[in-house]
Amino acid sequence: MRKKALHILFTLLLMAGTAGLNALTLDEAHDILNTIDESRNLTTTDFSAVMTMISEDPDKGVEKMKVQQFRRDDKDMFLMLFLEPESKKGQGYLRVDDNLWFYDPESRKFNHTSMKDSFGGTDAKHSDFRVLSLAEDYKVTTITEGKLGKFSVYILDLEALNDEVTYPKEKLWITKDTNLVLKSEDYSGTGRLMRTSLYPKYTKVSGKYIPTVMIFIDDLIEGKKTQISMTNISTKTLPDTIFTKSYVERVNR
Amino acid sequence: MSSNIVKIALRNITRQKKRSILLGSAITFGVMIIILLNSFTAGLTETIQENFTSLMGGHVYVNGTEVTSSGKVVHTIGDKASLDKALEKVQSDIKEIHVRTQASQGEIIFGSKSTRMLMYGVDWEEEKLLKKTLILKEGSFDALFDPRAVIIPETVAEKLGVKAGESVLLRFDTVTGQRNVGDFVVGAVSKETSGFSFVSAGYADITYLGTLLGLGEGEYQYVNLYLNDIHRMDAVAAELTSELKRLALVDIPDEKDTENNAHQKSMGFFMGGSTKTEDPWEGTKFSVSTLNDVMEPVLQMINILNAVALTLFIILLTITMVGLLNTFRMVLIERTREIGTLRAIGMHKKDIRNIFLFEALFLSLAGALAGLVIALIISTGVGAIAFKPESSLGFFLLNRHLLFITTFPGVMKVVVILSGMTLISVYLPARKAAQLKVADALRTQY
Repeated sequence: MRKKALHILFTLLLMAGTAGLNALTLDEAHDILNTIDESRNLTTTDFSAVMTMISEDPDKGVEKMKVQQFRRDDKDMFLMLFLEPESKKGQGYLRVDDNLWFYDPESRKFNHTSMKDSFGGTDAKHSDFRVLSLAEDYKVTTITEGKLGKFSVYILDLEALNDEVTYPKEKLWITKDTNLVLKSEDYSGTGRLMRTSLYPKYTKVSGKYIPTVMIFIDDLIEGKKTQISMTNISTKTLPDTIFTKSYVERVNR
Repeated sequence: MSSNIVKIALRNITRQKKRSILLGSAITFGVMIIILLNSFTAGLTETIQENFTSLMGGHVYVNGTEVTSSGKVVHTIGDKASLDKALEKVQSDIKEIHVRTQASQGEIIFGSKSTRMLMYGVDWEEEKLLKKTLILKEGSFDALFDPRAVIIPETVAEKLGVKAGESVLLRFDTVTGQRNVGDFVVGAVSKETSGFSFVSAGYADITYLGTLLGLGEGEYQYVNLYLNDIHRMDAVAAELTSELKRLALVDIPDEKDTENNAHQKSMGFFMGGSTKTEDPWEGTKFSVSTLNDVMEPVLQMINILNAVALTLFIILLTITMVGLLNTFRMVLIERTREIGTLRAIGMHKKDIRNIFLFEALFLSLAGALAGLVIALIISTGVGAIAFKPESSLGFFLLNRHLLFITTFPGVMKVVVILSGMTLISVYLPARKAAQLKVADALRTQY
């Protein structure tokens, strides 16, 4: 009996020791958030790409859009210009000086809009295209380990540290070896799953990891999702004039 | 003698039936257009006033903004004591006080369908007028004992395919701007109370919605006042603002930017949301606005429409009057011998002139009466058509119908202008007829 008890105790100690060796502390998990931010944000170069967005809405059907994206992450600026469809051509979102402006070529006016609003009626938010600041915006509350497909991942539960974020709670699936976010779930304050984002493909540009395919699934509306693919990726320096209202107006002339 | 003059004038109208009908038709058309336009704009003013009052829940609106520790401006009224004290000053003018919360940027979801909707949090115990205004298509007010129960407009229910008793979700922003979602049950479906289909409004329990919005217990965002006399709204707002200024911070619109402020205030109710400020303040900063502020841009549009209608009426009238003048010059030539005969048997000059004037006046009045009748038939007919609230006419509809208001003073104004212009235009040929020498008139051969 005594021998059996010793055996159980030994097993438990062994398990605890092993777990201690592999398990991530909350601080270490937070460091991963820092790593993700650093690996995603292009702080030394500009960025441009063409995004093809396919939005599936059970009410509106399937809509395909093409958007030219320009980013300057070190100043948290971006410009998104619609190239297709014809009905949206020329519309643009310009993020400068902490403001996000929407330009409508029909009214020729800029209107202030929110980073938390959806991008062009899709399931993507404007905030999905800005500089990533997970480490600054969230704290890790729980850490688990698991598998996502063939990848070994850390599953981190996050809680917002400020009211700047769109979602107060998030869950991230991060590859153990490369610290890439493969999946994220966005939760409301009441704890309801609102959106699932998948990042199945990345490309390495100027030493940074850029997701080239993103899938955003609306978990509240059945069958509503948006897939974004990036092509024509470039890190060439962009002229300062691109991130101005006059440029947006000029391309519409 | 005067009754004879009237009889002769009436007989003269019937002598040349075709000509009279043609002239009368021109007058009828002009009168019909102006009465229709005037009725439409009067109805439009009433419709928009009703819609805004119903949508916004009162005539005078008090809202408060506070700054969070992160510098965000949020819509909430924390300083209830100051507001209650200020409201005591205008107590005698108030019919009902409604406190509300509001889910801005709301999206109501049922299965795979969703639509934008403004959701107000209301205190059902206090909002007696709202209960009276809401006409339920299905469900009942009894369902509202459940705090998750909502009343949604029929357009929203139709779009979602949802019925009373079924569960829906509402996605919206909290007061600090985070996305949130709440579970609701459709307690009842109301007929469209607001013609503004672009801002379909639903009603939920104030406490339940407040919790989801991130407000504390008993906190609210807006106070709306229904007044005993709608015409007192500006005076009440001024008195309330002055009292609030004494007790707390008040956001006074910059005079140079009044128009923009009014617009922003009106849109603020629909858009909600939160912004950042670089100039934070302590406590609640109040802002008082009225239905007139909200309606200012709309009233400007109606005034333009009225001016266009009047210009059109004057142009139509001028053309008709030129026609009338020419017709009576012809009449003068045709009846020269008859005038001579009448004068020879003892009719006075002024009677001859009056026959012409009465004839023209009767023609105008007959035309005006016909115009009024046709305008009333058209307006009643068009007013009876039930339009879809989501149609492009949505903005102009009251309970799915276009409203035409034809007032007696409005009609009298048209009749007086018409009569005056008729008499002026016919006066010259009438005077010329009266001045004819008897012998010359009798000698005339046409």
